[in-house]
Amino acid sequence: MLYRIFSQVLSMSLTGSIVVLFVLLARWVLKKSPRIFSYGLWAIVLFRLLCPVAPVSELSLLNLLSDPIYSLQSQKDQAFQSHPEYIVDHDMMAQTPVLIPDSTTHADPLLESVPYATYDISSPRVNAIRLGSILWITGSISLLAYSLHTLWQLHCQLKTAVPLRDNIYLADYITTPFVLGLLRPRIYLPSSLPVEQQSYILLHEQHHIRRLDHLWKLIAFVTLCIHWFNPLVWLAFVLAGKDMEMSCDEAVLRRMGNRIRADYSASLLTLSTGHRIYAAMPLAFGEGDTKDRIRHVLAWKKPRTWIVIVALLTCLVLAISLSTDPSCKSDLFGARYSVKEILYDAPQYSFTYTVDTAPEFTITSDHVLLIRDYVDLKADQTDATDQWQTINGLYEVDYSRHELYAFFESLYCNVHERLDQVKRIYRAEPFNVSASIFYLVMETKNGDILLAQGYGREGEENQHIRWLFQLEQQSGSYELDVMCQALKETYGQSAVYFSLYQCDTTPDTILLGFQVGTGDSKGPSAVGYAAFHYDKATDNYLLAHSEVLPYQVTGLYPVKLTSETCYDTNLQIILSTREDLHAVRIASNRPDTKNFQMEKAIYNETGGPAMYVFECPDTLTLQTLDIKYIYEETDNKPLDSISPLFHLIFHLVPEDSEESTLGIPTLILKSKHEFQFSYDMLSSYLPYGMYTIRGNILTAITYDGQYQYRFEIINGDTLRFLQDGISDVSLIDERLGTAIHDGDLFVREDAPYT
Amino acid sequence: MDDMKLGAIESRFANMIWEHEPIPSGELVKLCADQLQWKKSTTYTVLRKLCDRGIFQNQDGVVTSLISRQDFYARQSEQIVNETFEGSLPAFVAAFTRRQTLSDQDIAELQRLIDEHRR
Repeated sequence: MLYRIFSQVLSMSLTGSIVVLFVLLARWVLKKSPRIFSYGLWAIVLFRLLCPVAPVSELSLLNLLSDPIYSLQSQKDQAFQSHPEYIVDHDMMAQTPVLIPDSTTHADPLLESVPYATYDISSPRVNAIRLGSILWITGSISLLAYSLHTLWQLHCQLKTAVPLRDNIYLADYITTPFVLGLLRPRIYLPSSLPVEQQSYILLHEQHHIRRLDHLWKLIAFVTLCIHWFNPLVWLAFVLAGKDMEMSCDEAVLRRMGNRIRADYSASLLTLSTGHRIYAAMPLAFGEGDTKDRIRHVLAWKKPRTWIVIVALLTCLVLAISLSTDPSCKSDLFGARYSVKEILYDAPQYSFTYTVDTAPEFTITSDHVLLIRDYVDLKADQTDATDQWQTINGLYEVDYSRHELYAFFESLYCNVHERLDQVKRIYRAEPFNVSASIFYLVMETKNGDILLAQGYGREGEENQHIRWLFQLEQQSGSYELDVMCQALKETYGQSAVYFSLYQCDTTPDTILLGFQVGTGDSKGPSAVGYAAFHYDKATDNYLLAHSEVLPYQVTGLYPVKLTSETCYDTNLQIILSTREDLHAVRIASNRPDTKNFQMEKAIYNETGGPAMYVFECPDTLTLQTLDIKYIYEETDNKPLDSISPLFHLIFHLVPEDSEESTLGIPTLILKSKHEFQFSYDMLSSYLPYGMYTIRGNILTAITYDGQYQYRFEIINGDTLRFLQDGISDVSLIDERLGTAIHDGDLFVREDAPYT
Repeated sequence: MDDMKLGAIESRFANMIWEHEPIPSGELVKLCADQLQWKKSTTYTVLRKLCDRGIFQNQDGVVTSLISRQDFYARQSEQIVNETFEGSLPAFVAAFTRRQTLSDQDIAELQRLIDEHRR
């Protein structure tokens, strides 16, 4: 909270400073004109320093300045273009050594993967800002407290004040006439003031009250307390006070005429001479104004009409151009969006979204588009995921109006109008090259954000848009930027998250799944997860705990997040780099929690790494959970095409299910066309060699050339054993183990449920 | 603070005592409420201050002077104290002018300017 307010104050202070500089310039130009104009200009400064939002206008002078937000964004653009990290290079993956544990440890390879690094830090940058906001609030409060103290002293002093008439009071021991009070301001005159001098002074003070100067001065002072760290604001405060007094002097002279100038100046001089002040006056350091005021009063003439007109126009122009924000300010990035309106729904499809069931989107400030499908928690949707999926980086495209129209099957009027408003277009395609989906994010002239999802490949003829949404920025978006920054600070610039999860039970915790070394030529080096906790003091998500594991091309990493590392949550996280992992099912193997079972699917259209998060009962640990990995159906894929990447295990389907599962014959197909076949536990010979696939026949030949086994491929999950003369699969002892006969089926482990 | 100096309003208060002494403090409160529009507590505060300076005394609820009016003014070198408030005005007060450290030279110069203007 404080952190957010402080950064708002900093940004207002920055804008305010620029406006102060302009006003200083204008004040110098207008020095011959009545002071009321320069006094009025300070109102703009006050507005900019106090009001975080300003109307948007093309006329804004701030357009001329290099808007810090904008230049930052263009830097990011460049940075993004040189980042190949959002594109998964399949060749590169194939070259990476495959780290598949061999069959002896395969029973539980997942427990073997020991984390090699854990970090528990808060980012130093966040700490600095937190410290800054504490310093800031301390300064503000001290300044206010000091002023309240002097006010109290003055109040005590004024108890003996005696009313003269109306709201005018005489008081002992005060040095100067002044106005005090908010709603019913009183004028206090020093009791020592000669009666003949009272009249001018009263005119001056009454004019202050008429103009509500006492209120303005108070507002200005509160502003000063907020922006106390900004020297330009102090300067503005002092100069505005001076302009206020001088314009008030002018008003009195205008009313009373020129003749009183000498007497008026004499009053000023009388009041300002006298004893020096005892106490230090830190709040009044800039008050060298009596001299200036006397000179100004003596030199005063009725201003010429044209000077007044010119001054008035200058002020008006400045007021408009300085109190508005530049309109080109882009806030498309770094925000989370929900669908506000469905503008277009391609007519050839039957499935429709409603505003409530449409997905949510996040666009990070480093231009990455993420999507999260709607999940009806009541309905049993195993296909949907409640996690954010990274689509890819957005890049700017330049489509003509007609190119844009061509994406739509039929254009309704309202869509037409919206498309004509489009100012900028960004495009993103998912990681997975085979999915011919694309997304367009469009920014319109009036600041609306549109998002289109379409099918087809860039440059192809048949690209068409399926949906067009108008998006609505959501408040309370995750501070994804801050979280990503924290990740990069901990694990280096190549740390990129691929998945985001917000816990249902503790919404204050956000988990990010990430990869390290994505952009490196060596390929990813680690995958990990990071838990962020919401921190009230900084109004931010801070890195609480993170852990990385060595990267494997087809790795599965179950990690348990417990109350010790991640307070309030007990999470089972499974990180996966397997492209074909479709779903994970976990179930308890403890008798007391036997009915605990959860399944999560990730509709992994993007084909990248994934993170599955389960919120488990506290009693369950990795050892008491059965984890079942469910892979994508490989029916249509030739076995050949996936075998280099994955370690496939086929078990014999026993004829009699009652039979012991001990020593079930198992065929393991490894990368680089290696195989391993075990069918007899008593045999010391381990068939080990290379396999080839011709048509639908898989032939495995041992390295020593002695044996050959042939299988018919029924589909990606099922093989049928073909017995012929060469292969000998008889058991040493028929009583131990399972015999293999011609035509026996082998089914792939972790095959989808039937 | 010089014991023998009074502000203009304090002088009015002191004169009231000198005119009516001996005066019961309750009467004095009424008188002050009437003429100076002071609250009871203000009257007692100022009275205590002047008693501490040894100008008046308040015994058994009756106020009498320790120094006569003539003696007091005879001792007072200046008519009225110009300034003794040892604090500063809060920054948010709109004031006619602020006391500041004009040098003697500045004052002379400004005075000359004003005088020139009068001619």
